[in-house]
Amino acid sequence: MPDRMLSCRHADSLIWLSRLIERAENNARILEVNFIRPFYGETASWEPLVAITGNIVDFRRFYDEADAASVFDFLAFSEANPNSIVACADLARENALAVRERLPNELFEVVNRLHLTLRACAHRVGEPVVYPFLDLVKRQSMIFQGLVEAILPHGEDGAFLRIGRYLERLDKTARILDVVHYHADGADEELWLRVLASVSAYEAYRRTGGGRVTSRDVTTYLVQDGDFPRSLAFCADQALRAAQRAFAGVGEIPQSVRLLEQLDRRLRYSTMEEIEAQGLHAFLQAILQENNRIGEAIQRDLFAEEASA
Amino acid sequence: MFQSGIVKGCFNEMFFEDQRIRPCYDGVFAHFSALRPAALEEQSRKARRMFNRLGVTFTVYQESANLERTLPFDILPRLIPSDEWSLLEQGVRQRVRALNLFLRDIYHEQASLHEGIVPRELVVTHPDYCWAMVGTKVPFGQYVTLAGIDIIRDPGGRYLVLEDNLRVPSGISYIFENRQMMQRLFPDMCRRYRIQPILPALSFFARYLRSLAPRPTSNPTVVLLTPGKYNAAYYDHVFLSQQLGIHLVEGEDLLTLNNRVFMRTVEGLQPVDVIYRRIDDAFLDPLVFRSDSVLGVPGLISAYRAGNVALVNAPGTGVADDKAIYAYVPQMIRYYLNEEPILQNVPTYLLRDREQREHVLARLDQMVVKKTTGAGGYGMLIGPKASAAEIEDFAQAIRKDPKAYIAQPTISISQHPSLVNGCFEGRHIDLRPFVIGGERVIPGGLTRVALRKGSLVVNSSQGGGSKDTWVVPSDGQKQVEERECRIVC
Repeated sequence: MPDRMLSCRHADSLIWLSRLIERAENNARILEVNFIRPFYGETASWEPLVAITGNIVDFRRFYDEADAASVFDFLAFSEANPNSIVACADLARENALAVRERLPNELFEVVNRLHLTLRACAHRVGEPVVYPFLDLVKRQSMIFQGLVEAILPHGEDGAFLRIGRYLERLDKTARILDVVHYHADGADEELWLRVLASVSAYEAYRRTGGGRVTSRDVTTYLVQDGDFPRSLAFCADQALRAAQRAFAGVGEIPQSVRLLEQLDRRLRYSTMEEIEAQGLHAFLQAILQENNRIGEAIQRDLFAEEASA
Repeated sequence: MFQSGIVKGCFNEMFFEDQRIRPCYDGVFAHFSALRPAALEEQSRKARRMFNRLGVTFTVYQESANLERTLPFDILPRLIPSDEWSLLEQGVRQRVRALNLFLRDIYHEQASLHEGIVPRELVVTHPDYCWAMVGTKVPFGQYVTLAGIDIIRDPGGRYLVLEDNLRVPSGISYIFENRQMMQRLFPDMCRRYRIQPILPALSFFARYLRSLAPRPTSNPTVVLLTPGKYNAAYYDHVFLSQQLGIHLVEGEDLLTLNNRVFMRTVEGLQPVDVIYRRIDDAFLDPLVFRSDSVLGVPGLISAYRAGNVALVNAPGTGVADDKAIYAYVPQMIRYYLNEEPILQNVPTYLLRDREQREHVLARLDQMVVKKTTGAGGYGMLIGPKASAAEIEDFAQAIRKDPKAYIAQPTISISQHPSLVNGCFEGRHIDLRPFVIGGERVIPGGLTRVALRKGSLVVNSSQGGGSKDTWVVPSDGQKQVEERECRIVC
């Protein structure tokens, strides 16, 4: 429809808007699991949480020790961490501002409120309000996603929002699996329950898993399950569909869609035996790299000169 | 609740001199008198919270950071009886029509300059006189698609034009946001009045912009060109693109190819027909104006001159809203329209003229002095409020560059009760009606309030606020009848 033509800059902002909201929510989930349910037995190991968000180097530059307080501060509020919840909310709002005239006002309001509330309370969060704080982030993100489904026209704009959401979600689930496998001995059932909780898969898994909570079962579920909305296979499938819709009006199939097709096929048709044969770490790293490449390809598809001419 | 403080020698919009209420305000007065100070303050806070949450804000530049502020909102509406309004409406339309013809003229035949209606040097040496526009055919001869005319009322209650804004006048979104806020805060009171609806003017604006497309197409692409999200008026831009259903673009989203303008979209390049630009002339096209501009589009002016795209407002309109040219608008109206001006100017002294200059310099303490090219309430002298040193500074500046300044007698502009600490006190106000295409005027317009006691400066950059402005039937009684809610806006 020529009426609602989407400029490339707006498309980019839509992707980042939903990506950053999703990132803030995921950070909140991860923190929630580890704060609300203290580790059983031995002392907690906090560093993996930082590793999941991907910038342990930044962390070490600003904090001496990884403990509950420093990790919470880093993941929730730190200005030094571009992926902290507050930073994500700020940047999400910047992107929402850039596409504001295309968003329903209610949708902008959610992003704006998240930003304003977090800014207002960022200095005051102490131990007793950790849970309401994290809950607020999760809830605003859900309202955002709900509104995207409920009142935003399901055309190009929605498609770009969905691309951002699923690429980000795929990234986080993959990182969680990778980090846990790297740090854990693999046999700790409590740990794998925690992993399930951090992607909100606990109840869903219980219904399908039949009571067996092993490293392999949980991993299989989070990599391959076609129905669970945070599994790698589900995210890749949805991201592909969204990209196909987003670039539907483009003459030839853009590079990003091709890469997404590959990723989707790989997750759909690899067996766990094959994955284990190459090593889970190697497999997940490859997925993460491919995910990054897709992000870059979208940038090229949107902004490369030959694409527009 | 209402401090009777009616200031002598100053028109009060709500009260007669003998403290009686002007008839159209009866309902408003009754409603607000029944509320306690705490309740009034609560409504006022509610408004601020809601504006904040909705992101209805503007950006103020301070040394280190950009701060987002809500425009202070005064909950007591300003009412304009419809007979007064129709005079105002005709007056501003007439003015914009004449200014539009003047602009056409100075970039083509220059008949008014030949005949000495307006001094030639005032026009052609003006920094905003745009040489690229000389001889350029403007789509449908429309230079001024959107104008904001600043109106004040003198102590006798006469409406006078203070200033014309013909470049990229801002503030239009506040008219609509203020109305919506009033309807949220005081639904009952709003329902009891027959307020002229304002939304239809936006639909007209949307149709009007589309009608300017040079290409014969039934579905032209219209864009609003913004400097971006850090601009003070960004909310205005967002609001208008939402309401007009047009694309909000930045310079980098557009490019020119073979004298045509295109937008970079996901689907490739799409031709653009009409650009409602909210960036200043100087930044429009680095090939023609400031070469360091990254906000504009290289080649835009060339495409415009080739007649392939409409620019709204046209480049070079700044000449006509200059404060010195302003003095000649009544002559323009007589010259181009062969009509008598409906609205009068504030008397204006042109300081380039020696006699007038000496007259003004002798009584600077009674004058308002403005830079001819200034805006936003910056760099002006308000004689009665200024210190001796400030007056001396201005006297020197005027002697140094007299044609850069004009002077006007200080007019005590009208007051309207405004909420201050739970009570209503008189504050000075003005009015900016917006004229679309020289034809349609949004009923009411933006009323700006100088919230500081006694202050005459209403600009938002100088601590001004705004209030909702209603055009209501002239006879006060009839509108208060209970009637079905028919307010559309």
